[in-house]
Amino acid sequence: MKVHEFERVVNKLRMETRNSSDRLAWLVHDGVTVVRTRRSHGNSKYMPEHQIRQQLKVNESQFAGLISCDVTREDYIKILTDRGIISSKPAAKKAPH
Amino acid sequence: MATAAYEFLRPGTAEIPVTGDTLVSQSFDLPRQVVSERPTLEPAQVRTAVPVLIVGPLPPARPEHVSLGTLKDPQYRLRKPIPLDVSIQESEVVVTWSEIDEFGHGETTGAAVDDFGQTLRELHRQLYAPEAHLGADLQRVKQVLGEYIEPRAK
Repeated sequence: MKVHEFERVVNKLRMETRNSSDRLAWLVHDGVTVVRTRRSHGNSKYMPEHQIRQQLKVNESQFAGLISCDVTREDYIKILTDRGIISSKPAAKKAPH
Repeated sequence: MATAAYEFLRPGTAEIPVTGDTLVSQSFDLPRQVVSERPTLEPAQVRTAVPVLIVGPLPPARPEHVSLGTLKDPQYRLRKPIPLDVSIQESEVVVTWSEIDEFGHGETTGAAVDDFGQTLRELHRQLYAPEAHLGADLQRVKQVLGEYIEPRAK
């Protein structure tokens, strides 16, 4: 996996990012952080594709689709919902004080 | 041509006389060691070194599993070691904690474990941040982290 492929996935999924010792990426859906992944800084750094795929909770073909643009953000949300990573119930609103 | 003579010695023995019921501090000269009979080896007792060729795979120099015992951070303490799987991917060492799908990597096993430890500290900070609103899976990750990692009291 290349850096530009990682960034393509992060941008497509509109993941929140933060540069720490690594580049951290979080998917926030309806105000809830649901998955996280990361990569090392630097273009020449190795990125363990299998481990990143595991963190994103997708299988190999879905991961390939994320990289190649076949899988959209909406598709990905549905994948996570089907897998139970995202709750299909709307988040309960807090009662006003 | 040099020659050398040797002899086998046995310790001499002596009876210590008992003098009444009371303990008496007394010193004795040890008897002189005496020469024993020269041992002879039967042919069957003679052992010779035989070179042995071991055929088969040698044990791997890099273990397939390691345990992380410390996080190298004064703010955190590990309650118990974290089991890591070690693999090689494109000549890079990757360590994985499969229970929470977290990893570290580097040119050596040590570098990969260090990277993992740094990642874990960062993940702990993120998940335990007061403002964190986590989904079910990350809640589980947070719970597992809590079973292994304990912040030190300040």
